[in-house]
Amino acid sequence: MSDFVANSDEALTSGHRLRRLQRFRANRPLWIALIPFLFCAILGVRTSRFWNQQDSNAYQALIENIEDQGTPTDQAGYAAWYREHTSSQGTADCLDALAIAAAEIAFDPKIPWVGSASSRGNQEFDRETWAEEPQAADFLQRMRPLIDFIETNLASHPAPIRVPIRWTGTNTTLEAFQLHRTISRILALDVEHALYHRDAERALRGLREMRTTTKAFDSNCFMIGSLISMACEGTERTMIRRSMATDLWSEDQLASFASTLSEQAEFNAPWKQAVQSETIFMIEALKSLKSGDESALDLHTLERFPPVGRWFLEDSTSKAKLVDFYVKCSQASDLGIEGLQARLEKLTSATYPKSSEFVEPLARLLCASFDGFGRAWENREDERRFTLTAVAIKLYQKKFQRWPTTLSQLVEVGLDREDWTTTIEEPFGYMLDEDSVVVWTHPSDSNHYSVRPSVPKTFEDALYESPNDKSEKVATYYVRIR
Amino acid sequence: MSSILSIPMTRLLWKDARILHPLFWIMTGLSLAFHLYVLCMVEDEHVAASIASLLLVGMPFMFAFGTGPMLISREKELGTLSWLKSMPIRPTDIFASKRIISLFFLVLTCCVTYLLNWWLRTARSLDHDYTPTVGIVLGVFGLESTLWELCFHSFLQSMLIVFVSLFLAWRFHHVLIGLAIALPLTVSLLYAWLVPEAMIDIALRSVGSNGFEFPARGWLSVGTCIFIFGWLGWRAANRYLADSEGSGIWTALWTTQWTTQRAKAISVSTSATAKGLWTMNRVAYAPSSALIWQFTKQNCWLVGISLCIFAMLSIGAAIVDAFAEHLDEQRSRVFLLSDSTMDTISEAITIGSGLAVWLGCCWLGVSTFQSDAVGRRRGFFAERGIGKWTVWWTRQMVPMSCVAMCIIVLTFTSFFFGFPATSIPGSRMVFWSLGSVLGILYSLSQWCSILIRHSVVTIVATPVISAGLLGGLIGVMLFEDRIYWIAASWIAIPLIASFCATRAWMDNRQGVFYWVIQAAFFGLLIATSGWGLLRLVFSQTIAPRELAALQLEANQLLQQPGSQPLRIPSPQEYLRDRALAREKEVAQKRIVEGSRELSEQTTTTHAAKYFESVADFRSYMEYVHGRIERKLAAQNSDYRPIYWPDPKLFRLLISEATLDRLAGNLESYQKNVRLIDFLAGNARHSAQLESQDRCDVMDLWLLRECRRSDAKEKLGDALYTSIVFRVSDWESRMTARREAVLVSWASAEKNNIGKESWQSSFEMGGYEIFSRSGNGTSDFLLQETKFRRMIRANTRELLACLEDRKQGLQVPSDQDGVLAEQRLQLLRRIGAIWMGLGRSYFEDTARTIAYADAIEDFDFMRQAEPCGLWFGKWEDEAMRLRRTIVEVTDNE
Repeated sequence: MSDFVANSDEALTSGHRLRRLQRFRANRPLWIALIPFLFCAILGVRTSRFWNQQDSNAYQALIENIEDQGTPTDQAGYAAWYREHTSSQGTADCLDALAIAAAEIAFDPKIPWVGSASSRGNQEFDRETWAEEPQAADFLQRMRPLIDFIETNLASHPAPIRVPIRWTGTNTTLEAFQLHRTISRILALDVEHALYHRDAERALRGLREMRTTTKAFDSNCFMIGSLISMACEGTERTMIRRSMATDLWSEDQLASFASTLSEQAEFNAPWKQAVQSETIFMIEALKSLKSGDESALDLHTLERFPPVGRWFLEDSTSKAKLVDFYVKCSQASDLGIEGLQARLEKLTSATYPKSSEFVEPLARLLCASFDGFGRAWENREDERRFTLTAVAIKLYQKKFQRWPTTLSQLVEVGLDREDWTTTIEEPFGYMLDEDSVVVWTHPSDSNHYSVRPSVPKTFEDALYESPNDKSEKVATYYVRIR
Repeated sequence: MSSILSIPMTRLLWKDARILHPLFWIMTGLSLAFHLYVLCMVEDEHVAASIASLLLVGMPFMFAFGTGPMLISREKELGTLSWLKSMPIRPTDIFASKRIISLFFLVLTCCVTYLLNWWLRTARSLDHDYTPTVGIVLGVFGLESTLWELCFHSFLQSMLIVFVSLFLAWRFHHVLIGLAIALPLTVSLLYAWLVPEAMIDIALRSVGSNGFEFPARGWLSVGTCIFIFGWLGWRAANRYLADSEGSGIWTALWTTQWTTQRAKAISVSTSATAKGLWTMNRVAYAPSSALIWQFTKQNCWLVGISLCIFAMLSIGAAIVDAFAEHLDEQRSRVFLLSDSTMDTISEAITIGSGLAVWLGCCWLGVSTFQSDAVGRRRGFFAERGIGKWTVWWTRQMVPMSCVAMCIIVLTFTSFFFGFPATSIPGSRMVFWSLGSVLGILYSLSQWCSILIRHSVVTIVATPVISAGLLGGLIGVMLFEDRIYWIAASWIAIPLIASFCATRAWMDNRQGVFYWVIQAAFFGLLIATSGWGLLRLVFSQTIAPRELAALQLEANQLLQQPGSQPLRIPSPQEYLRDRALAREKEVAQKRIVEGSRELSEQTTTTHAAKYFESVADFRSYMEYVHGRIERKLAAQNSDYRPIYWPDPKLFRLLISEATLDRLAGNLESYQKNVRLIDFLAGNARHSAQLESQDRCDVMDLWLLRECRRSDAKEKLGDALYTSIVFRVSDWESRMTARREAVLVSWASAEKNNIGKESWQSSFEMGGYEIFSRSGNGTSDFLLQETKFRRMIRANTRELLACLEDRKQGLQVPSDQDGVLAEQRLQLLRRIGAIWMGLGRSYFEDTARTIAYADAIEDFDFMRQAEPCGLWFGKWEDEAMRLRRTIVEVTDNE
C-alpha cells in the first residue's frame, strides 16, 4: 500500500512535471516567435541609429570642412556677412529709387523696356516709327527726378547697395532684387528715347548711369542676385548694340566702349559666393526639417511632401550627399567658364538622375539648378564678346572708312580671335549688306532649337523657337551696324 | 574525409558535376547575353557602368543561389539521396563532393563573368561605378573602393551564398520550392548578420572605442559567416544522411535530456496523454517539408496568379522607368505611337502596377490559411498530432517567401533601369518602404484569411479590408514620425494573432473567447497607431472646463462695436454714384470690356484700371470718407470704417510722393502724404492680417519721411505732428493686429475646416496658406495637420513679436503684468475660436477676400534692417519723434 502511495505520489509528481513540460512545449513556439521579434526590433532600431550615426558623422565632417574654409554655414552668420558687405547708408538713401521702381512694376505703363509693351530689344533699331514714343516721353518726364537722383546720388555711395533681406532658408524672399533691374530698364528707356532723338549726350549719360546702377546694386551674392546683375549688364550691352545702328558715336567714344567691354568680369569669386549662399539656404532647410520649424521651407513645397516623404531626406546619407553635391558645384568654376554648363549637367545627372525623383524627391528639390546658372554665365560672356565685336566693327569703319570684309580684320582694332567666337568656340556670323553689316550668333545648344536661315536678314530671322514653347521666340544675338 | 581521388569520391564528383553543369552553362549564356546587350544597346555611359557593376556581382550570386536546390533538393526529389544513404558511402563524402563541385563551378562562373566584364569595360571605356543595386548586396559588408576589391569581395560573398544555399536546401524536397524559398531566405540571413555587427559596434562605442570599424572588417564578417554556415550545412547534412541529431556538446546534451524526458513520460503515459506524447516525440524533420509541399500543391493556382501579378508589376515598372524617362525620343519610333498615347500607356501601367501589387500581395495572404479553413484541414492535422507551430509556419513559408522575393526583385528593378548613384540610401529606403507596405498588406491579408471562412468572400473582401486599413495607417503616419515602430507592429500583431487563431482552431476552441482574443488583437493594432493621433488632437485643444467662460469672453469681445467690419463702396459703385453719364460709360467700358484704347489713355498716370489720374483716385477716397462719415452720423454709432486698400494704389501714391519730393513739388507732396496717412490710419481697422501688414509698410514709409531733417518744413507742422502721433500709437496698432488675428483665424476656420467640399485655396487674413488638390482621406488629414501647424507657428510668431515690442519699447515694469495679461487673453481668445465659436458667429461677417497682389514688392521696406527701422527699433524711433514734439510743445 505504501509502495502504491509512494508510486502514486511519484506518478502525480511526474504527471505534474509532464503537464508543465507540455505547457512549456505547447507555448514554446509563441516564445520563439515573440523573443526573436522583440530582439530583432530592438536591434533593428539600434542598427538604424548606428547607420544614421555613421552618415551623420560624414555630414558633420562636410559641414565642418566648409566652416574651416571660413564660410558661414548658418543664415545668422550669412546675414551678418551680408550686412557687413552692404552699404547701409547707401541702401537707406536709395530706398526712394527702389520705391519708385516698385510702383512702376506694379502699374505696368505698357511702354517698351519698363512695361509689358512689345520689347524693342528683339527688334532692329528703327528711327522712323515708334508708336509709344509720346507715352515714353511723358513717362520719362515724370521719372526725370529719379534719373537725376541716380546721377547725383548713386555713384557717390560706397558699393554695394543691397536690398535688405530677412533670412528664412529657401523661403527667403528675393523678389525685391528685381527692383534693381527696373531701375536699369527705366534708364534703358531713356537711352532708347535719346537715340531716337539723336541726343548723343543724353544717351551717353544714360549708358553711364546704367553702368553705375549695375555696379552700385552689386547683387553677386546669390544665384538670383547674380542673374539680376547679369540682366542689368545685358540691358546695358543691348543698348550699346542698338546704338551701333545710329552712327551717333565718335571714334573716341567707340574706343572707350571697346575698352570697357574688353575687361572680362571676375567669374570665380561671384560663382563661389552664389553657391555658398545657396548652400546655406539648403542647410537651413535641412535643419528646419529636423526641428519641425518649417519657416525655412516654402509651404507650397512642403505640401507635396508630408512627413512620410520627408523621411527620405532625414536620412543622414542623403544630407551628406546633398552637401557634397553643393561643394562639387562650388569647385566647378575652378576649371574656367568654358564648358561650365556641360560639367554641371554631368555632375547633376550623375548625382541626382531623373530616376531619383521617387527616392529622393526633397533632395532633388533642394538641389539648385546650377547647370542653368552655369549656362547664364556662359551666355553673359558670349554677350560681352558679341557686343565688343559689334563695337569693334563700327570702330574699324570709323577708323578706315570701310567695313571689314571678315571678322579676322578686327585684329587691326585690337581684338583677338577669341573675341569673335562664343565660349563653345563657334565664330559669330558676319555679312555685308549694302550700306550696313549684320553680325549674329547661335544659341549654345542650337541643336535643341528650330532651324533658322543660316544668314538671317532680319532680327526676326535670327530668333529661335523655344524647345518648350513653340510660340515663344528665344532671343539670340543679332545686330545691324550702320 | 577520404581522398578526393578515391573511386567513390571520384564518382560522386562526376555525378554532381553532371547535375550542376547546366546551371553553369545557363548562367554563362545569360552573362554573355547581358554583356552584349550593354555593349550594343545601352547608350548612356553611366547606365552601362551601372549595369556592368551589377553583372559583375549579380551573375556569381545567381549561380550561388542555385547550387543548393540543384544539388540537394533535386536529389531529394528524385530519391537519389535515399539511394545513396543505402550505399556504403560516408555522408561526409557525399556532402564534401557537393561543396567541392559547387565551389569549382563558382570559380568558373566568376572567371567567365569577370573576363566578360573586363572586355565590356575595355570596349566601352567605362568608369568603375557602383549601382545602388550592388550597394544593397555589398552594403551588408561595406562598399569597396577598387574594381579588384569588388571582384574579390563578390567572389567571397558568392562563396558564402553557396554555403548558405547548401545549408538551406536540406529542408526542401523540390528544386523549384527550394529556389523560391532559398533566395529570399539567403538574402534575409545576410541582412540578419548586420544585427550582431551593430551590437558589437554599439558595445564598442559605449566603452569609448571607435566602434566595429577596421580595414578587414568586411573580410572578417564574410569569413565568420562562411564558417557558421559551413558548420550548419555540415550538421544538416549529417542529420539527414546519417540520421544523427548533429554533433557537438550542445547536441549531445540536448539529446540526452530529451531521451531522459521521453523515457519518463512514457513510463507514466495514459491514454489521455498519448496524443500529446506522440506530438512531443514526433520525428523532428518529418512533417515540415511534406506540409510545405502539400500547401504548395493545394494553393498553386492562387500563388501562381499572385506571382504572375507581381511579375506584371516588375515588368510594368521597368517599362515605365525605361520608356517614360530615358528613351523619350526612341519610344515613338519603337512603338509607332504618339507622345500622348505613350503617356497614357505609361500612366495606365503605373496605375496597373499599383493595383497588381495590391491584389497580388493580398491574395498571397489569402492563400495562407484559406484552403485549410475551408477544408477543416487544421483539425485533420491536429488529430494526427502535428504541432501548431509547424502547421503555422509551413503555411506561412511559401507566400511569405514570395512576398520577400518580390520586395527584393522590385528593389532591384526600380534601380536596374535607373542611373547609378554613388551611395545607397535610396535603395535602402525603397527596400524598407516597399517592405513595410507589402509586409503590412500581407500580414493583414493572412489574418483576414483565417478569420473569414468563406473562400469567395475572403478573396473579394480581403483586398478591400487590407487596403482600407493600410490607407488609414498611412493617414496616421502623417502625424507620426515613428513609422518604423508602427510598421513593425502592424506586421507583427496580425502574425501573432493568426498564430493564436491557428492554435485555437487546432484545439477546437472557436467560442466567444476566441473572438474576444482576436478583437483584443485588433484593438491593440489600432492602439499602437492611434496614440499619436489622439495625442495630436488633445494637444491642439484646450481643457473643456475653461471652455464656457472662454466662449463667453470671446463672444463679448467680438460683439463690441468696432469689431464688425463695415463694407465700403467699391470703385464701381463710386463711379455709378457720381451719376455722370460719360464717366459711367467710360468706366463701364474700361471695367467690362477692358478696351485697349481706353487703357492706353491711362498710361500718363498709371492709376490702375479704375482711375484716370491720381486726382481721380483722390476724389474717390474723399467720396468714400464722406459717405462713411454720413453713414456713421446717421446710425449714431461708432462703427469704424474699414478700407481694403489696393496695394497698387499705395505703391502709386508712394511713388508719386517720392517723385514730388525729389522734384521739389511740395504742394503735391503734402497732398499725397496726407492721403497715405489717411488711408493707412483707416485701413488699420481692417480685420485682414494682410491689411495690417500693408499698414505697417505705410507707417514705416511715413516714419522714414518724418525722420528727414527737413520733414517739418516739407510736410508742415500739423501734418507732421498728426503722422508722428498716429504712427507712435503702438497700443492701437497692437490692438488692431490682435483683432485681425482673431477675425482672420476664425474666418479661416469657418471657411475651410470641417467642410465636405474644400475650397481651391485656403486663406487666412488675406494670405494664402496653401492650395490643395484631391479629396482623399489622407489628403484631408494632411491639410488639417498643416493648417494646425501653421496656426501654431503664427501664434508663436505673434507672441514673440509682442515680447520683442515689449522689450523694444522699454515699457515700465508696472506694465509688464498688463502685457502678460494681454498675451494670456489673446491665447484664450484664440482657444475659444478653436472650439467652434467662430464658425457660427462669423457666418455673415467674416471676410475671405484675397488680394491678387501680395506685398512682396514692398517687403524690402519692412525688412529694412540696415536702415535700422524695423526689427525692434521702429517703435523706438516713433516714440522718440513723439517725445520731441511733446517736449517742444511743453517748452512753448
